[in-house]
Amino acid sequence: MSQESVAAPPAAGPVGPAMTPGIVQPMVMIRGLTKFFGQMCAVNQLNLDIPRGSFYGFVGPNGAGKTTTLSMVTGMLKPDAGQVWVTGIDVWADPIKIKSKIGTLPDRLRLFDRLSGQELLTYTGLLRGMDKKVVAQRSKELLSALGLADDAKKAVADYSAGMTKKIGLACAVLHAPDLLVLDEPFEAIDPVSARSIADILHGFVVDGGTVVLSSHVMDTVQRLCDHVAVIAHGQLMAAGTVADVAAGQDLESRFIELVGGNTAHEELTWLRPS
Amino acid sequence: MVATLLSLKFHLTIADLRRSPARTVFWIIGLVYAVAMMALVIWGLTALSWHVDGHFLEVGAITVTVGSLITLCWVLLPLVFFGADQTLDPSRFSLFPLTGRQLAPGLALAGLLGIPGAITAVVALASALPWLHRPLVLVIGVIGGALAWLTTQLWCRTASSALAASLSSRKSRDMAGLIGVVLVILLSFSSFAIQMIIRSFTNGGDWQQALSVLDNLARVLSWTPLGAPWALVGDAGRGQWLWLAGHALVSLIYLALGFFLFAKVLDKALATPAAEAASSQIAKGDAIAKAANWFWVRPATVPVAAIVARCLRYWRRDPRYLTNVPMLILMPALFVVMSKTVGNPEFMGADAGPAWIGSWLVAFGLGLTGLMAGYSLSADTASDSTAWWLHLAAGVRGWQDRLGRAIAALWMAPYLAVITVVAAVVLGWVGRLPALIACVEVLFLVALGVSSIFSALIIYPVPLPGESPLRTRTGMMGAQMLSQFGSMLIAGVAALPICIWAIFSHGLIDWLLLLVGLIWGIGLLVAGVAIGGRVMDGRGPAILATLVKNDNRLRA
Repeated sequence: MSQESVAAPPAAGPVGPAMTPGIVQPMVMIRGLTKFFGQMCAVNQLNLDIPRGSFYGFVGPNGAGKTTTLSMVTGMLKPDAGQVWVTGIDVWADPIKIKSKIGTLPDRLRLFDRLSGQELLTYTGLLRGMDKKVVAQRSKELLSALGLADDAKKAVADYSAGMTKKIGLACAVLHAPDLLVLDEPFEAIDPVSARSIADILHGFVVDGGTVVLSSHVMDTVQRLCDHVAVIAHGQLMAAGTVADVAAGQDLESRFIELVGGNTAHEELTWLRPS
Repeated sequence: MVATLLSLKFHLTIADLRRSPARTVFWIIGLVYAVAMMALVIWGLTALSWHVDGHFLEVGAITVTVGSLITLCWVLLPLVFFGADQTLDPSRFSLFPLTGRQLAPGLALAGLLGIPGAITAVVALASALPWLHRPLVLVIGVIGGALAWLTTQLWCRTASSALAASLSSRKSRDMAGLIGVVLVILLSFSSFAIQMIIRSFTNGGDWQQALSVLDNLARVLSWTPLGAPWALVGDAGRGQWLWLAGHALVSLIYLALGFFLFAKVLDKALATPAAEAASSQIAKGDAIAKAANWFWVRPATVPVAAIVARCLRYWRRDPRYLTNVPMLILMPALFVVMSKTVGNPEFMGADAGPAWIGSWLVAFGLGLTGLMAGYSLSADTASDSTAWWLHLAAGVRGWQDRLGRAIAALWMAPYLAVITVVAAVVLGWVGRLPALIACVEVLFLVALGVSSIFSALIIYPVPLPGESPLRTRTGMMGAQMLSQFGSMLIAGVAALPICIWAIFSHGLIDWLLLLVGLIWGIGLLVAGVAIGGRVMDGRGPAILATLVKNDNRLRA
């Protein structure tokens, strides 16, 4: 497996590569981030800057360390080494303070599913100490924007996979954070909902918010994101604007080239209708 | 097909054992225990054959009764442990071009590769042992044992598949879980009940009457699906060949019926893939939103109120929480019944303890109920499973998390007071009521406080959300036992001053004791919440990591 490191990781230092002129401090700044699970190194010396106001895609093969990295950014998983700053605040020095600025949708974690969708939103809002009237107003709008209004009073345990993702997303944006960190937000989502979610996220970015999302689907990333980071084996393979990383190819081909896909196809001569 | 299914079951069992050394250790402990039980039964049977030589009536009746009980256990097993062993869940075969008839024999025989199935097989075959000296009867006994074993497996599988089909919705699964809990609690009391029944029968040393009751019972059971195959050996032993033919015919009919039903249920399961039907359960209002209006809510306690409301919903709706309710009702009831018998010469004869022992038993039982009620909070964080990430992500402070859960659990305080009043009236202890209530509530409150610390420190694996509350797994015990013994011991010691005072106080001082006891209990609860909150603040990501680890391990 050959890996050419075309785009070198951004240099360490307080200032990342200047993406948007005039804004110096990146939204997220990751330096030397490392996490071991037993002997296995899940994330290895990762450096990355995520510019303020960017729509950042985080891509990599299964088990590349995407979820692990995002969990360390949101204060859900403690790194073994390295630091993360969000809006200039060290996440692991003051985890509670930073959490009001971050909204997150973790992948494969449960929800309090014996609450109804409506109640789960209220619960999330009240846990964050929001005013109950604001919570009521926003959750009503969110439920209808995400097409969940009819199921608002059903128990989340009875939701489909896609509906569960959507209510999780609603919980993530409820407190109007500065940074949204979404792990596989489009998994199991139907095209109609995917479009409305994309519109919501796009609007959020236009208004100055920052979105980081992980995905397996290059097409989604290419369409939605302006920046992308490719990660494999816990290491950064490439990062920058989508155009820079793609380097003239389509993102998918470039991705396979970067992570070293299996290109030698054996002919499955028997695979045809008998 | 039979060989394929057997080898599949074999490989799944081996793979399961390989996953962790702890599993293997517990599996071996289970095996040793089962083999010991089996040896005991076989020893009993052979001993019986020497002692009651010539009394085949009794041996046959015992075989039928015990055998019927075994079969009944197998039929009820899926209700209690539904979803516990899904290694050969029929719906997993739905993608293969197979019919129920093809699958049924293999699935039934696969039971032979599990500990309970194998042990039952040996016991069933061993039912022929009392006739070791009569080869013909021995052979018939072995055949009868094989039929009996097949019957247990077929009916158990039929029951579990039928149950799985009717439990496709979350609500009915919750209900079945609760019924299972009640069954287990009743079963755990049944040895006590049987002891009482035997005592009342043999009071005048009238064994003959007891045996004739047993004999009549066996006669009826021997014609039901539960007992028919177990009756063959006794018939042969007694030389009642006509009865033998009748029982053999009936057993075969029941067996065929079991096979037919199992194949039918399987066909249905194969046509219904594992996906579950969505239920349309609807919450009436927004219970969480109402919590924000509670009178004591201030900005800092808004998250606390939300957590109280959420926990109360779980106490009402989640079978894993509801499991505590039968315990809270049956445990004091058991101690009241015991107090009425243990110190009572009418029941116990010469074995009766001194008369005062009954009252103290109830006092002890009530205290234990209070302690257990408080301890139930120690599973609270673990019960959230990975849903707890929301508390971490929202920046909920540890004390808010702890306090919300503790306040929700306080619903048990008035209940404990009520049962204490009832018990005091039953015992004629109304004069000491304040002291008794003080002890029970202190134990409860202190246990709540200690559990608030322990549930932030030790996250032991509990059944996952939506699972049967009875689903236990190997490897669960270590951390749970540490948490249980540790917190019970600390809570007991912390409540001891009040309990000791209660023994010596009397009259009006009892009321002072009640006041001091409540202050003592609430003070320690608050201290527990504060300490537990600090522990949680420091351990947040570590707690989530443990919850994720348990979820991944248990879900697989």
